[in-house]
Amino acid sequence: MDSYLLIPFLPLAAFLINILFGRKLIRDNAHWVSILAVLGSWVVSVITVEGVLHGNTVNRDLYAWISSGGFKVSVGFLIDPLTAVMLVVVTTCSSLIHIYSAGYMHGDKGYYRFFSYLSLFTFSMLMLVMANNFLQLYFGWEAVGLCSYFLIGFWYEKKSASDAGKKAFIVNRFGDFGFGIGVIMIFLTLGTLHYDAVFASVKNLIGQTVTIHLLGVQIDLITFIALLLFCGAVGKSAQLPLHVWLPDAMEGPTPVSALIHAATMVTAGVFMVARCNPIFSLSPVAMNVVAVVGAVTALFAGTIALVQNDIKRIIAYSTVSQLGYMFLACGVGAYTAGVFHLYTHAFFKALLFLCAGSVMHAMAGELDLQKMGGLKKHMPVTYWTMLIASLSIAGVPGFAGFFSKDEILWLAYSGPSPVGKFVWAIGTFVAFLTAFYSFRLIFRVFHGKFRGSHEQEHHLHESPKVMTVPLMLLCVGAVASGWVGVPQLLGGGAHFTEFLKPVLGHLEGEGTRSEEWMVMAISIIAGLSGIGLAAFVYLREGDLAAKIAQNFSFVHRVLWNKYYVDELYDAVIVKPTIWTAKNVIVGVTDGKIIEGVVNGVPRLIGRFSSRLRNIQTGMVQQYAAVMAIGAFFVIAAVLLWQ
Amino acid sequence: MPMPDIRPLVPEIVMACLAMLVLILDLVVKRKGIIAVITMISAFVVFYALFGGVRGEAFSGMFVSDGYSVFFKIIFLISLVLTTLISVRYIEIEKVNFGEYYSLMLFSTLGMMVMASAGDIIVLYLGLELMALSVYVLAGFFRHDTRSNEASLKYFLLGAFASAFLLYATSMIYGLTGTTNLRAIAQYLATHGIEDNPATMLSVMLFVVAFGFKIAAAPFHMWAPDVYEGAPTSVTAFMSVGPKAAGFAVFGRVFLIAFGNLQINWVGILIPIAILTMAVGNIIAISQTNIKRMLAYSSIAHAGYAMIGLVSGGSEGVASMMNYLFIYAFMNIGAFAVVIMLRTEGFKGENITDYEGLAKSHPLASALMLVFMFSLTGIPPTAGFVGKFYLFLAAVNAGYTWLAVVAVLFSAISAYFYLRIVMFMYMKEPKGEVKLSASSSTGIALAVTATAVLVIGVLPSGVINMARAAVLGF
Amino acid sequence: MPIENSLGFPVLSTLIFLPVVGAAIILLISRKQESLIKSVALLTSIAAFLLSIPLFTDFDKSTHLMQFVEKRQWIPSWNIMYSLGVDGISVLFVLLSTLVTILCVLISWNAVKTKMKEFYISLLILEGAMIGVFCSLDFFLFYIFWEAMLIPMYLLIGVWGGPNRVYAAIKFFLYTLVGSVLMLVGIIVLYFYGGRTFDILQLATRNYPYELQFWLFWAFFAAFAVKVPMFPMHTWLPDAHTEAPTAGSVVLAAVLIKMGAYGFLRFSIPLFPEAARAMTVPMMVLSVIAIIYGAIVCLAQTDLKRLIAYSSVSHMGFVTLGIFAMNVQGLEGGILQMLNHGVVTGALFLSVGVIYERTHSREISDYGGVATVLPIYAAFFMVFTLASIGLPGLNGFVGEFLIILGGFTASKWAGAFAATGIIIGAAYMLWLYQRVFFLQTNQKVAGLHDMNMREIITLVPMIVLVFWIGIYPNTFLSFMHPSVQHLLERVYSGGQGATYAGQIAGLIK
Repeated sequence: MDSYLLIPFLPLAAFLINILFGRKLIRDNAHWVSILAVLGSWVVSVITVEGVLHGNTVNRDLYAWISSGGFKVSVGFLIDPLTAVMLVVVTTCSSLIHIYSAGYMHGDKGYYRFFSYLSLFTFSMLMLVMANNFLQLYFGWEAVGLCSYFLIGFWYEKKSASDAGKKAFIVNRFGDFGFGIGVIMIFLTLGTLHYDAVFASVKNLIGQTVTIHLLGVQIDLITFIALLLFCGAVGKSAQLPLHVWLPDAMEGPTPVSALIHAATMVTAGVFMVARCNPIFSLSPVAMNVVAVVGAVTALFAGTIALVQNDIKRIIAYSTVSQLGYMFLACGVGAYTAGVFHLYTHAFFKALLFLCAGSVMHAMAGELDLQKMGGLKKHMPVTYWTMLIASLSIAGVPGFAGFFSKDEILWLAYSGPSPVGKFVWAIGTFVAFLTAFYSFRLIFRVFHGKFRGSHEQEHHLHESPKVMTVPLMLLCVGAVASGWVGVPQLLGGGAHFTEFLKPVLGHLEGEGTRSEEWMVMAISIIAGLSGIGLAAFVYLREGDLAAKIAQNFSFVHRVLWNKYYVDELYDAVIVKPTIWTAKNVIVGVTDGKIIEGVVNGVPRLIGRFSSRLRNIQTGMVQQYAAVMAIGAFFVIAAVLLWQ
Repeated sequence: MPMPDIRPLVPEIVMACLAMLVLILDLVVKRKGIIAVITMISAFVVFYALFGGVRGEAFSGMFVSDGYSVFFKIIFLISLVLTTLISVRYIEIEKVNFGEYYSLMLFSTLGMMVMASAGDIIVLYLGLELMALSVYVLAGFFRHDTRSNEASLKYFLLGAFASAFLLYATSMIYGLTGTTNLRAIAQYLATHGIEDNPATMLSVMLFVVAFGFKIAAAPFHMWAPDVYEGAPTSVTAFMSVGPKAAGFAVFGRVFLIAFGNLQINWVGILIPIAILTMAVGNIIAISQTNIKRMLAYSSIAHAGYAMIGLVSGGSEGVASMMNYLFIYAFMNIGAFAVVIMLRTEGFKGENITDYEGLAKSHPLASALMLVFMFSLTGIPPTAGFVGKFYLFLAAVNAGYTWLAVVAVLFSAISAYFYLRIVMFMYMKEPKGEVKLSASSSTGIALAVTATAVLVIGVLPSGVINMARAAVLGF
Repeated sequence: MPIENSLGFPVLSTLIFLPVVGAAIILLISRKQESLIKSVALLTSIAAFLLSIPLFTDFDKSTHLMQFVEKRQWIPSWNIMYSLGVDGISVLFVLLSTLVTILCVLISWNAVKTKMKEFYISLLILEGAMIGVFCSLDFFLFYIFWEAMLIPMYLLIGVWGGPNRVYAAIKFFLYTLVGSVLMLVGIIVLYFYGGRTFDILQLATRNYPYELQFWLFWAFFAAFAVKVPMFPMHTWLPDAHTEAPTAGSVVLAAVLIKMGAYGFLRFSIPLFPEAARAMTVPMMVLSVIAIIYGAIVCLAQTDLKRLIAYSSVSHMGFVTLGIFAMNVQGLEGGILQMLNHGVVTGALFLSVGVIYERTHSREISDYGGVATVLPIYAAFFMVFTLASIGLPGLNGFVGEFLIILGGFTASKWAGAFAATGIIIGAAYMLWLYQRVFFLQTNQKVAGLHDMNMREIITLVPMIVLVFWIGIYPNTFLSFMHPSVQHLLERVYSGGQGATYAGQIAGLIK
């Protein structure tokens, strides 16, 4: 049975129904269409995943999409353990967030539009994870980017929102530029874009190099391909240096931030790297690049998150940081750990965002930490669920985040990767930062006294059931999703790793049990000390935080301004391009040079014409003279020529 | 002495009789329209005589009736008929409705016919003067209009100047060869090896000057703009087609028969003249504000194109030239027919700006003008394109690809001023109300010319074959 | 000669002359009967479209040979034939022409109020000439149609255009004429070298000396490069597009500028294969410059139509890049992209026409918040914007991807640089969309009514094509396979230029 086809196409149908009939006919009932569709695909997904657990994988072409000469590519589906994990993540998060949105977006004038975009997104994301070839992956890749564009700029009348949407799309295009060329390189060297054929034959490329003429550089072919593919991942998963779009993406409605910019779309880069592990694994250079980029991004974003005041932006930087973690894992060869973290992160990060949304809901859209405080008593459900999510992300033992983070750190420490120890150290430090800023958020929002206006205080309330129930359900995930991957050290079965082994292989760490205990202990200490420090700084009365900021004003300013990366891009890329367009191309090459010739030649002829016209004086003597001179020249020319 | 065979001359004799008849009828017939009709009937009678007539030589080769001459005579007669059609209303408006007008046209046509058939330079000269004198008078037909008088006088003075060149050239060639018969000259030059003689070349060049004047080739074109502008518009239309074609007829016959073997010598000077003619005509036309003057320059430019056929030589070259002149007769007189319609009582209608917004008030006339303008530019599917195409075909065939390139570039330049008329008609708003002096005869002329331009543009085979056949006996 | 096609009648001639007959009928209708004039124009264009459908359904996709062939003596003195036929390269453009004409009639329904009769006559004659260009198998016939097109187009721009229309019209005419006349001389030279024939198919089987190929290649290049338009012959396009009435811009974008690229495919490459091969490097360089240059210049535009016009320069750069990549993917991508560009840019101009009819402003700054006021319109425009920036699943992607693949195969640098055009493309299109449709509602657009049924019907066919080609491009690609294969065989069948071409190509790969 091809029932798996329902998984992507149910949301697609919902999208079509809503976009075509939503505005006039369905209106406020749009959520029913979308929610039913996504629940339907969740059910089918669960059934399909059940099948995968029993070894029933799928790899089938639906129809030939593009064929031109030797280039043939199909629309086809691959459902293997990796896809199964993604199906669970995508459909579960998507379903819960759909439901949450019905409450959150209630009364918005673009209600039907919102749900059609969510459905379109779900479809695109599912096409992405279910693809069995690179081009369909690329399709899903761009389509989720499009939905992200739509949803970030959902409130398009706000300039900041539509700017952010545009920025997300364009920054992603930079990554996709590399990704696209990587796909083309794969076709040119291997003659196919089907995963199984590519992964089976990629070994044949070992030792081949590609020469970039004009630069005179020779690069190992596989490294070249892997790095190009990684460009795409850098864009989509907001890694350095293409991370700039994700914090801005918080302009979108909060459920969107939860679904797209935390749980699913942004992890597509990690998914892709994991999917392409047969390619990456053959290139140590590319692996190291992935690991280092991931580690540096984790650190970089973690530090920025320390000082921000916008709750959604803090969580956004935390997402960037956690995504860095996942790449770190992939880069040291621990793909399973990376995907495991992807899986757990989806739950607790979506939960964090939805809680933030719940807070915003209560605060009438306010996002500034400085105007909150003491919300605990007003919104207990939100408080407890957010606390659990924070414990999870901080890596407190027993919670989901602990298991995945620990596995990453252990494999980084013990794995064969030459940069392993280095990234482990960074990772551990980032674990500390993560715990600190997560609890800074909790303490500033829920503890202490309310710092906002009187009106806001009056408005505070717990969110409706339609929103809190998904919070509670996600809470289960934020705690329990890690339990499928309890390491053997703690007496677990590491089921998750076993499940993914056929696709991703498994990295055996080389280290003693005591070393393993040590790594775990260090990470726990890092997490707990982060929480402790946050409590020390923020739970006490006084302005310790402000004093620190004052004493380290330079550092604070740099972090507050996000290392000035946006400003740098603006000065180096955006402004010069527009300047060139205006002053060089329109002003000079088109305006002066080409148009100068185009208009100048006729003008010259015209001027010449008016000049020549004056020869005709009307004097008959002169006419005769011209004739005579003409005759003279004619005769002279001929006679002299002879 | 036996009676010479005058049968080849029948059309010319008929023409002469009819011309005199028209002159006499003018005394008795009060309604000048009838004279116009008789003029056209005369043309058709001559037409008939031409087709039914005998081909051959008369007066020991002094007069030749061959395909070549017949083809040109057809052009002359067509231009005669078309000009007559557009004149009827015009000379009424201009209040010069005299019968002499028509008889002068007939006489000048007779002169052209003689030119086309001239096998001898003396006959050529006779025909040329008959044509020229008649046209001098026609150019000055507006007795009270100083511009017209000036035009006539200028034309006369400079024409006399050119005739002097012609006579001088004739005397030199006679001195060299002892004959004025074209074939005999060729024979003499070939057998006596004086083809490279500077004196021969001098005389050839003098012919170039004389004929260059008639076809208004630069730098012997100076008279044309003033005369075309000053002369009555109908006469301008006539002059720019008939006498010009006659000039080409003798140009072709003298140079390809008498001096055919010297082609490599004279081509070298005709090419620069052709290019200069195209350049002067096309470039100066751009800055004209008077449509008659613009068409004068356009006519100069077209002479330049037609010269390419002459330069290319051979039967293809000549045929392409003839084909071009044939087509040119229709499109140019067509354009003048529209110009003439703008002349109404009290309104000159000669400024290009007078065409502003014409398409709004007179869509049909504008559409026809558009067709003629595009045809003059050489844009398919009009006859003008076919004409140019044939010329370029001949040029490339003769190895003058570069000359074809030069010519096409000039024709691209020409698009600018032809399109300007279209632009004024269609893309500007009318300033004031423009009336047209439409009449049924002008209407017929327009219908004929426009149909010819479009039909030849799409189905040119007939004309091409005719031109080719005409050259066969050459 | 008996008609050798499955339809039993000379379908191509009918297609060419049916619009002309329609124009003649309109000519006879009184100027005052405006709705009758419009109806005749609409019915004629629909009839032509219906007639062209069998070309699509009855086309034999297994052969590169010309189909629906008609051949008659025309001008025997010059050995000119009235010879028509279509193959996999041209057939789709015949269909595009007939479809676009219907849309042009529809979009002009209320927009054209002056000289209506002349307008529809021009449009229909233009249609006939366009179809003629794509069907002609005889050079003379081809040239007639090629140039004849200029007349109605000149009028469309100059008579019904914007404020600066006269300048734009003359510029358009002269630019294209200068290019075309050089080709005319080239055609004549070829006539004599090829044994006094204008038969394109025969001429395309001969071998010409490399020197001759070289010169003729450039003579033809003059005509085609102006039409495409390739950098640096592009400056007529923004003016013409901007000033033309909507229908004019649409025809120009959708069909007319395709003819340059079509010329390369039908003439330059098969007639002068060695020269074409040797010239791939300059051609690819020019294409890449056009892609990037055209895209960057869009960032500085303040005029809606001008921006889309410049984007055409960039998109057509992709087409020429694909063509001169000289491999299957490049060529098929190029042809498909011609079609795509016709659909997308045609649709964008149609869309601009919809709003222009309401506001009479082309200034981007006069808009803003249109999505709030005209949601349906905004949705349509969004689809075309996305198609234009090459979103997978829509038509632009398939063409661009194949072109970049082909370009990359031929030269990595060309492929990589071309791909940057996609980044900039997203930037300027989304910025345009933002400024027009998003943000606060501008006073100038407040209260406008959304698209009516006529306008929706005008745009729906384009939407269908956008998705059809994007999701199942094989319908269209399958037309091309044998013809492209045949073309490549011709190109790579050896010759003197090969070594030279090889050397140059080696330098840049």
